[in-house]
Amino acid sequence: MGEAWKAGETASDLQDPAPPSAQALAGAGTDPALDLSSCDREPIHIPGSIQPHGFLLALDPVALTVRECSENTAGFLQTELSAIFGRRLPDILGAHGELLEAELAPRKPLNSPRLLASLRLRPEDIYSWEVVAHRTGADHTNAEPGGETAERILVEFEPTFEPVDLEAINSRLYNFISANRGTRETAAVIEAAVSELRSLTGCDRVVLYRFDEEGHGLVLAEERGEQFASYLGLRFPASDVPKQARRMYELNRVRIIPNVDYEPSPLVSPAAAGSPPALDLSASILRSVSPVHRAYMRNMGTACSMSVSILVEGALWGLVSCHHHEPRYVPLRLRAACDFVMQVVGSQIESQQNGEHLRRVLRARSIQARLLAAMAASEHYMDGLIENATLLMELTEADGAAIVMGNTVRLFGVTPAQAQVSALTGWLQQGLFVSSRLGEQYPAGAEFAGAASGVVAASLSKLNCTYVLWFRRELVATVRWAGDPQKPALPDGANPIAPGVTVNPRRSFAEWQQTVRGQSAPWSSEAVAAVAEFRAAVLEIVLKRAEEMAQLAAGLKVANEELEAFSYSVSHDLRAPFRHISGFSEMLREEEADRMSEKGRRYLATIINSARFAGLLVDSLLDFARVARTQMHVIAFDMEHLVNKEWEAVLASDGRGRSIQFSRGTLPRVQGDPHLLGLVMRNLLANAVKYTGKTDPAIIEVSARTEGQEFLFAVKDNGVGFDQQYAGKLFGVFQRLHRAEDFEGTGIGLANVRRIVARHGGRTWAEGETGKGATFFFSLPVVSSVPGGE
Amino acid sequence: MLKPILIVEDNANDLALTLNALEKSRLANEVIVARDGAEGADYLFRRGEYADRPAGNPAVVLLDLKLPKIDGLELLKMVREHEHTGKTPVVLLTSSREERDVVEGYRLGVNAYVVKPVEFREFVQAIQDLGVFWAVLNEPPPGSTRVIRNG
Repeated sequence: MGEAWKAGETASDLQDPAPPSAQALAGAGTDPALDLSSCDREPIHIPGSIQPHGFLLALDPVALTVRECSENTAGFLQTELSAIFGRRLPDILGAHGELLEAELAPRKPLNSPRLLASLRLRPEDIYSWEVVAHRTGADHTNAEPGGETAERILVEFEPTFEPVDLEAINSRLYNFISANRGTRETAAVIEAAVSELRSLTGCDRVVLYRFDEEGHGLVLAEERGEQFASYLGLRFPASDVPKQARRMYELNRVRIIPNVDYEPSPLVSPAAAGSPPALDLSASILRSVSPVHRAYMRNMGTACSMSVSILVEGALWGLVSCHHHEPRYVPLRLRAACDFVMQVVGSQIESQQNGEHLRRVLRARSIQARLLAAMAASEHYMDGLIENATLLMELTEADGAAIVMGNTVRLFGVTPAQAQVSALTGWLQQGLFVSSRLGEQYPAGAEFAGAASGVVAASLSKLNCTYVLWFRRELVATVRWAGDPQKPALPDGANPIAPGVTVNPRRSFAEWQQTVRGQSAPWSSEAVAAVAEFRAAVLEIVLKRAEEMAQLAAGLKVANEELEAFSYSVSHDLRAPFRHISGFSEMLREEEADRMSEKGRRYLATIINSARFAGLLVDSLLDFARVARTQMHVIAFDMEHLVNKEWEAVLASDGRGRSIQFSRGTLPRVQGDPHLLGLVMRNLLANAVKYTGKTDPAIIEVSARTEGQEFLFAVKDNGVGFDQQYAGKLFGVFQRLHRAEDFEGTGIGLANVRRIVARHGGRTWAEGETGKGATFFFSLPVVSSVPGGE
Repeated sequence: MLKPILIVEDNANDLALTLNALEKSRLANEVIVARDGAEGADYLFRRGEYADRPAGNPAVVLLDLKLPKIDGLELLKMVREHEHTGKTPVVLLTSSREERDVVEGYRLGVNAYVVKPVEFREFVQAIQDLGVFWAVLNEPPPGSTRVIRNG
């Protein structure tokens, strides 16, 4: 694979993020916990040596004199090292050196390697040299993990053994771009690029990997000679490319090891200067690689390895790895062409990803807009979600969803059981939760991994414990590893728990299959963003609703106050004229009745009665209004006691001189406002007395029974009754079923009864038959739903 | 000398009815009529046109609730807060049955609260009862003179 791909395996990144232990290793040869993270700490950017096919001069950045060089420089230049140290390029290379030094002028950037010249050092040379220079150290350094590195200008000389036909390469690249400009499918561009790289380099096998979220490399495309094994579709563990190598690959896009069996040429400095300082070779084209990586190459059976980074949005998206069974020197200019191809691929992928991202965002937005519209249109906003559960699931492309409101759990699609969802929300925090491996964070989730290994949860209201959850099924994935990633990379016969065990790369790249459980398809960043946006929008709706409610309540309060003011002025101002009519009529009668005719006296009596009745009507109306807004004082009390008391009062005022048989059955204790329910009883009893006025003897019975969650009360009489078809009118305001001459009354009493009972959460109705009496019923809940002291 | 009865009432009809009722109750007290709250205050605190009246509080104040300038409750508050009138019996005389008036009225230390009845007889009865209660049957506060009911 890539240049620094190294030994082996740890599936530790994959399955067991816990630090490994010697005990774990001791168990069996297949324990996955071997720690290869030491590779992540190997300072591969300061190897202290280069590959020997070229040579390197490290110049003082100011004096431009040689401070260090590769040991093989003397051989290539056929001179003594002592003749190189402390000299400038013209001193060493004559006219060539002058040319090169001119190219190093400070105004020309050297932050990344720049080709200074192609030249033949001696006329008799059969090959030319590509001379590349860049600045290293100080702020150019890779920093950790090697500590400070010296500031130098590195001038590298790499031989080109065969001439490169630049025109041919240019036209190839031109054709490649033309052919792939319109290609929308990433796969097609990748195939074409791999094919192009194989033709450009002539390598046996060209493999393209993409790194997944965990850093494992998945082989997406390859081109190979028939005798070489296919890696297509296989997965290489993340540990194959250590972290610092990834960083390096973002800076230095093309690396080559032309011949794995090289003898590194160390960097040396003058004897007087001591051992050479650390030089950061991250961007070097000759950098010597880790011995582990070379062993890895040998295990793969490749002598030459070259890799090209694919950068998307500046980050390492993947690699193209070119292998050849024998040493192969791919010239610098050809490598540049390969780099160019992969940069084209990178930007193609980038634009496709952006397009895909945009498409997903737009899709999520449109779903979100529809959901929010439905929520806004619903009386209770969550109903809008429940009615659009399919849409809700589409928002994140989930297999199932749950809407949790307190103890109520509504499930849609593939989900865990209600109790499991409830328990999960109990564990969740406020805000947003995203996981595609729920079981790892929430052990109880393992029970329902099949239905929901992936969960996205959004809390909507802390107060009501409201959550929306999206679920994704477990995706039992079969991962085809290039070699068993769980096999420890131990030297043959090594004691796995012995200290100082060195790590060797795995020897087998044969396919090895692994089944991964407990995880779902990963949630896309767009889906997670959509949920976050959705949550924010819903919270806004909730907030707006709350504000509206507050406004409504404030409005109601104002209306109520206005109504009270109205009642107040009615009671004062409307009542006064009636009082005056009545009062002055009385005075008229007292003082003038003797002088009036019989007819006049009758008229006067009518005026007095009408005024009195009008006053009564005003009072009734005020009573009715008062019943609606009087505060209720709910207590538990004995209905029998209440009925006895009211009956005495009614009998005393309305039943004087009447023959009435009154009976009362057993009545329950109820919860309610005794004053208001007293009004109910008084009204019903007074009605019974009134409408039995022409019946002798009058029989009035009060009884109660329990039905379900209700007490049913009945007041029965044997009076004039009523026509059942008008029963519905009985409880209306100012509704009367009898002529005023027959029975007095304002027609407000039963309206008050209905209103009071309704305020207690009960119902009212009546049964009757003309001439055969009437029964008035009302119900009260056994358990009051009216909060006390409301 | 009997202390007078002060009636603070703006409505001419109500005033006529009240005076008629008082007449029938045959109280011997002088009846002073004030037609708004300000005039009532002037009488009580001996200000304005009443600045020169002899000192002394009325036997009872019959006070309408809704009055121009200074309303009944306001005047009641003033009466209760003033050192000379703090203990003078005040009867709120109004048509309102509104709870809050009652509560507010009692909170300010009203002695009685009578809803003016539409019914003339009841009205007369109520006023008579009040007259008897405060001027005859009740032990007047120190500084008041017992009202002798005219036989």
